[in-house]
Amino acid sequence: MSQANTQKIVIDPVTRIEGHLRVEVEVDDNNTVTEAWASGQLFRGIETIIKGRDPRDAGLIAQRICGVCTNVHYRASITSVEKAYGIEPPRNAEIVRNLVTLALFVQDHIVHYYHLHSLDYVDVVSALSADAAQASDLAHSMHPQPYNCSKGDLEAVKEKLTQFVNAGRLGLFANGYWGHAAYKLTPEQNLIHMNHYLEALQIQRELSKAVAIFAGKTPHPQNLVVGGVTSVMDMLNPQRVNDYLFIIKKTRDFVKRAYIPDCKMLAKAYSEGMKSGEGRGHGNFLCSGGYGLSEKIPLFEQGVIFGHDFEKIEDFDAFNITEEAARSWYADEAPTSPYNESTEPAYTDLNEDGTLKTEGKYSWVKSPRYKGQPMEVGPASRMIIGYLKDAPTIKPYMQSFMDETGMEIMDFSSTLGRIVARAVEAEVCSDAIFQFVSEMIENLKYYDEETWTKYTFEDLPTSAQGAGILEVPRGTLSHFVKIDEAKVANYQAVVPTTWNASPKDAQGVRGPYEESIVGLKLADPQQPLEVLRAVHSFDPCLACAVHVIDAKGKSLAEYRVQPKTSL
Amino acid sequence: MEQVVQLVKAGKAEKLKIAVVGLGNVLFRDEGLGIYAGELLRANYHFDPEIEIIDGGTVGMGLIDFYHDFDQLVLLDTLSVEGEKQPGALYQLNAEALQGLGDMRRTAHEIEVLQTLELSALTGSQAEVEVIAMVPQDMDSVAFGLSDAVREALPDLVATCAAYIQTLGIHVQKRACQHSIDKILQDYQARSFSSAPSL
Repeated sequence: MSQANTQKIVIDPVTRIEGHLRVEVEVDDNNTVTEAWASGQLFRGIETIIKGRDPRDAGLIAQRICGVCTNVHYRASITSVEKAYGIEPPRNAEIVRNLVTLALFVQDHIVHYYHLHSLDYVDVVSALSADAAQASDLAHSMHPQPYNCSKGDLEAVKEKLTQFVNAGRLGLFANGYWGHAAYKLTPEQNLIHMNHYLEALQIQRELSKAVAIFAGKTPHPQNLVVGGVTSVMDMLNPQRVNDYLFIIKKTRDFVKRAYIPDCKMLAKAYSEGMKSGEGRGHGNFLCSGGYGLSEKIPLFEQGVIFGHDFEKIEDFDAFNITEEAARSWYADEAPTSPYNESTEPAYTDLNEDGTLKTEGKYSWVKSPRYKGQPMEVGPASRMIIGYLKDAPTIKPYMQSFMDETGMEIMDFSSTLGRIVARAVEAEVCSDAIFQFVSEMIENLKYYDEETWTKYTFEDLPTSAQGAGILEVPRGTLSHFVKIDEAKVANYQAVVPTTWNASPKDAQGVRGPYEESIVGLKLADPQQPLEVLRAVHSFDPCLACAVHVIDAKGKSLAEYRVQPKTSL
Repeated sequence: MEQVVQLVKAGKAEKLKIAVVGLGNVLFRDEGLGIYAGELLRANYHFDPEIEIIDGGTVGMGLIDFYHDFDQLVLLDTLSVEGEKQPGALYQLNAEALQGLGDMRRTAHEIEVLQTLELSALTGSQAEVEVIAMVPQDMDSVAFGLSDAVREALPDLVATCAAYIQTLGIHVQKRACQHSIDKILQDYQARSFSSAPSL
């Protein structure tokens, strides 16, 4: 380091599993971040295992890229093959697919906010000292009918939390930065949030059931095929559709009466940081659009914005996507179309002290670029673009949120902006679901029961290529497939987290996480809460599919089983 | 939980809802060991009354549903333990022993066993959860199959699970025809990853 006063902080792990997502930052003597490196520490070359297979089977493997995002990978993969062959699924199949994906939007957003992110802002310990009556009044000032926020409800929650803490069941809440200067909510605000944290556990279970109605209960769905869906009986069964709607009504209620008011509360309490642009990135936003409510009206408007130039929104064209690996642990470095990429590793390891080699390659994540620029994808991008393009599906929701919180469109380009954009999007999706269901019921009324586009595989071209590009909860997901001799010749998935967690490129331009971290002022470099907030606000999903009970930190020797062959 | 114990003592095990859930991802070699163990158990043992054996995949938050749907759960999984270097080492422990490890602060989106165990207490689940898990050798390769160490030790995991289920008052019997691990692996792939008729 040239400057004597530069200090390096390693935040590892940002994610639970050791080393999965590592962030290293340099801070100056004002505790302001001057440089950042985000690194994915695990190689997941799943593309290699799909090569050589029947293209119709690609989706069955691709869905296992991630245990959480199974359904969206499955859909993107199936779509890529449909695009390659020019097969268009019937409208009803599209609707059924949308009903699954949109329910996932709502579920993912709720889980991300309450269970994975809110404790970066909500102080559990503080909630224990709240006055339940005051908290109830406060909740009623945020919404005329707040979700389960009577004085009695809140007293019960306080008691439950206290019992939980007293029983030593603190694992969940252990190691929080409780009492950190950057926590700003009052005990009453914290209690309201914790109340909804608990309610959200039930709500997300309900949403799983809704998803299962059209996608099946198994963790490995088989409801999609190239050309359509297989869940025909479910679609035609009024009872099942009704069950689905019943759940969505209930969860929409939660979104409108809990999630949205809670995020308004957060936006107001933390408005200072938001207004000053904490966690602001390059201002490059991308959305591929989609989920047409009709031929003319998409749920999400497509578009691309560079450098916060809100006056100028370019049309999105997948042709402009490249990936490069100048700073990633792969052999082929030059920017390449995903159709032609290779995934050959070239690991150059870490420094001897375990830190990143910040001058060279430092991540397993590649650097996707659009017209050579890093792009932020996700709810903030979608909501900003929808708002600016006057999307009737988005603008009214955004406007109402902004009016009540005093937010401007620029404020969505920040840590907190990403968080509240996700809440607005959950509301947008909850309402859109009803429109899709109405349309499906209308179609069925007129005997349009088509759910699969017929084709004969042997008659399809033996060489083809296509991309399944889909907006999913975390952002823009794309699967690229190249088919040769009727087999998968090349496969590449560019997932939302690849965009957002991208390392620097050959020009040294930072990825979105990195850019959003640089400039943050840390209240306490030993507890870099501000950095965690910025990274978590993107809803990172790096640990896709990695899975082990990590019992480090506990002695379990007494539970070791000696091999025996009794049964 | 006390209720569960009492039912067993009273010989009313048939009233218990019991499930074995294999967890993991078969794309990354040993990470799929829990899934294969569940399949072996299903193929090679007979249970009276019957129990559910579920391929849980990497179901994340969905585990909470299992804690509510069943009285007694056995999770088969991979495990990483401080100081344990031997691949194939086998552990059996009640979920209580894992308490306190489900720290969420550093979690991005990896809600898995430890986190859901903590969360299930908040949702009022009464399920008794037993974990039978093995230390993997290789979870980095993108490949189907198992390392030699795990392949060799996997029958111990399955036998341990069967023995545990017997303690719940279920009559457990080895089937006459035993499937090999290779057959289980082959069948699993064929069933899961091909929808289309071969060309």
